[in-house]
Amino acid sequence: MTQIRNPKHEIRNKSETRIPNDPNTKARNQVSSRNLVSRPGGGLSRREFLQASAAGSLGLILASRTAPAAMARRPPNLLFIQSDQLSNRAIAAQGCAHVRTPNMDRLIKRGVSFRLSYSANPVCCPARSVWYTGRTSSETAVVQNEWRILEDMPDLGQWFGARGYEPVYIGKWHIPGRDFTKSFRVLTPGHGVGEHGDAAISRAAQAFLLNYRGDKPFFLSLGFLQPHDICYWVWHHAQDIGALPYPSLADQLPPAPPNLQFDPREPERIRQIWREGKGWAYLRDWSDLHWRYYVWSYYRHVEMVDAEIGRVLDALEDSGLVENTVVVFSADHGDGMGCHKMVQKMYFYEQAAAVPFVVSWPGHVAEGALDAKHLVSGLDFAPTLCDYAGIEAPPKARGRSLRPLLEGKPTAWREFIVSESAITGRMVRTPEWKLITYKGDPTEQLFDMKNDPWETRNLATEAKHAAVMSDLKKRLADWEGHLEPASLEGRQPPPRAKAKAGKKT
Amino acid sequence: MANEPTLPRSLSKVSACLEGFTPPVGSFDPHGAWEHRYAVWVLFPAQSGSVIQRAGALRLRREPSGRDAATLDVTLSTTMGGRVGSGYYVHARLTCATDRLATPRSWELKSCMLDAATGRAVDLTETQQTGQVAGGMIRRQTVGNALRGVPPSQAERNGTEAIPYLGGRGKVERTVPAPKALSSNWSLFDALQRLPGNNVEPLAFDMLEEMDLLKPNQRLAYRRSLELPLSDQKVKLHCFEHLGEGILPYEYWLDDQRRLLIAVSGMRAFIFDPTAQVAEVNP
Repeated sequence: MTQIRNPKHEIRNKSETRIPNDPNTKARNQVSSRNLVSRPGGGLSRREFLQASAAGSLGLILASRTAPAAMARRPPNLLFIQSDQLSNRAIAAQGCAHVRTPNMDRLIKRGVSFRLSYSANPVCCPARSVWYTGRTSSETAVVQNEWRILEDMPDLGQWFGARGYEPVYIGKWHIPGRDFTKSFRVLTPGHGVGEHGDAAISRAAQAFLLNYRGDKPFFLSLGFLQPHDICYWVWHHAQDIGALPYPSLADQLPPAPPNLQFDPREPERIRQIWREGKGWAYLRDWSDLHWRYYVWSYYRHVEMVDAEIGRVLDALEDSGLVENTVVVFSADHGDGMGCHKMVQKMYFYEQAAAVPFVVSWPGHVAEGALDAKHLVSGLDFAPTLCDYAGIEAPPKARGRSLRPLLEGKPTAWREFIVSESAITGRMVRTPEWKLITYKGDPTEQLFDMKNDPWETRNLATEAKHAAVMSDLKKRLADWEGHLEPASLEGRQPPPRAKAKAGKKT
Repeated sequence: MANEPTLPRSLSKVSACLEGFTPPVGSFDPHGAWEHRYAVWVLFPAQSGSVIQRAGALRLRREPSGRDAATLDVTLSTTMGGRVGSGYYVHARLTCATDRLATPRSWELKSCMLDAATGRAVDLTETQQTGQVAGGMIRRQTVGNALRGVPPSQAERNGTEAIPYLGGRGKVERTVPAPKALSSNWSLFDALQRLPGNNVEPLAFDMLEEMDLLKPNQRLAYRRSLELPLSDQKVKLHCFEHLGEGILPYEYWLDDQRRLLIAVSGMRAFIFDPTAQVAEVNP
């Protein structure tokens, strides 16, 4: 397994500036290249990177490694690789010792990877609507799975297509109410099961990269399914497994998550759905062995998509396009990974809400850097891509371009992010704290993320944290005051007819 | 482990796929020439609100080639959703050793996405790959088929000679050290049928999935046998389990003739079906 992170290289920033109109930016969060954690083996050495930053010449060094004339003539290609249900905590290069992800690690080595990266709404459709519009899910109207997006809100396929790009889509889309074949050139929609469909996605991407010779730069999106199949694994293994189905795995299972026992003071919504609801009641009866087998299986699903990503990265290199292609890798949401005895997503515990966000572009973006300081969100995806393409971001995009962070340029950065869940759920995350609140729900959660990263102790009702609670709620109110929530009337999906088990199609 | 009484989870998952299944009869020589066809099934669990889905076909043809080799001709066509790019098509021709793992020695592979309406390859989705295992190395080359800007399917329709595009400034040949023991997901369909009996020592190997995704630390071991009622008769089946990095546990079920009838993993199964039809790519 590749060892990438080296805490000795982490350097804290001390300088300060302020952007007064940005509601989630404050003075003490000034950023420079020194906030990046440099890692051995990157294309830009730590010494080189730091010296260049100090001298203000990072841009010159980066520029000298490119072909200036070619860059000036044509904007970069954009390749967006999506994984579905991939937690940022399930990647070897992010510190997970129980999974082998040489290709995600390869991406991380080539670019900047954000540790504090969060889904804007940790479930499929809402998170994807945010990626492709730059708006919050409460604004797109896709607040839950299968709710339909506002018809007049432009998507990135339309946006880039109208601005000189060839928008191409391969794989899962899953934004209801928007026919993506009208916004993109679609080579295959993929299949709802990753084990069945992801090979087709990587093959189609491989072929596109090796064959495309168009005059326009491309914006290629790859919607892989895995490790989302773990959702089906849960149903296949809902009841007590008893003994381990494959005894030879006994010495290979990861340990049980350290927070299988947790603070039961959870919001009613979480208790009603996850602890007491019919749909997930069986999770209460899972043994430690069951949970360990679940996490082991999740890692194998992660490794499956890692291999497919490898095929795409090989093709990008073989195409000769790698030097003029910005690659972004992320996931719509994570997975419970057994923490808090949870599977799936749709809540704000760290494993489900934290997703990878990796950006690479040789010669332009710092290489081998793990940013463990700056908070980023799926809202930042659209502004970042548009920035690199040299076009304006979609109207009222709520995120920010990550470009200054990626290129080590001084900039004031936000102090918090907000994520949404369903209609009422909100998470406010700062580098130190996480507030989880559901409007109208009497129980809130506050976690000290520095000292309790496994979120085992809910501090929301402790008097000594009242000021923190008040501050986080004020930030949330300020943030929401800037938004334009969509009317949700008529956006819900029609009731779904239950399919008969065992029926063939 | 032998003759466990309860139906294993893997067979429970495919039970609906086996409705109407007719076990093949007659002798079978896994060392000779044979053709097997499998229906590809996607196995949604009942709670998901979906249903099991027949989603393609796999055809394998084995032909002995010389004293210690065989060719394995593989065609896989699977269905996705929608119209454009709704089919995934792979054709590979492997030369494999006749050893326990059917170790691949060389191969050629073509792949594309199919347009359901025309049966043609979707533009920009065709690739060709060649590979060899020699000198302790795995070498493979993958190229697109772009013809001076004209997609190959269109070029063929125009009668243009196909000239593989050789990959711009990028690397064309990829070389990695060959592991001590190597198989492929398709080679295993051959290898398993030739393993001598059920008292086989567990095999450790690396696996080339679809001939280019190298997955290390695979293990194949005999697990159990049982009698399964199929089409008014009881058929004795023998199970091998396959565990490893980058895969979900696979179970392979063979009959007494060593004919591989069922291969099943997390969400997908290959069920022996002589009537299964692989797609053809229209020019």
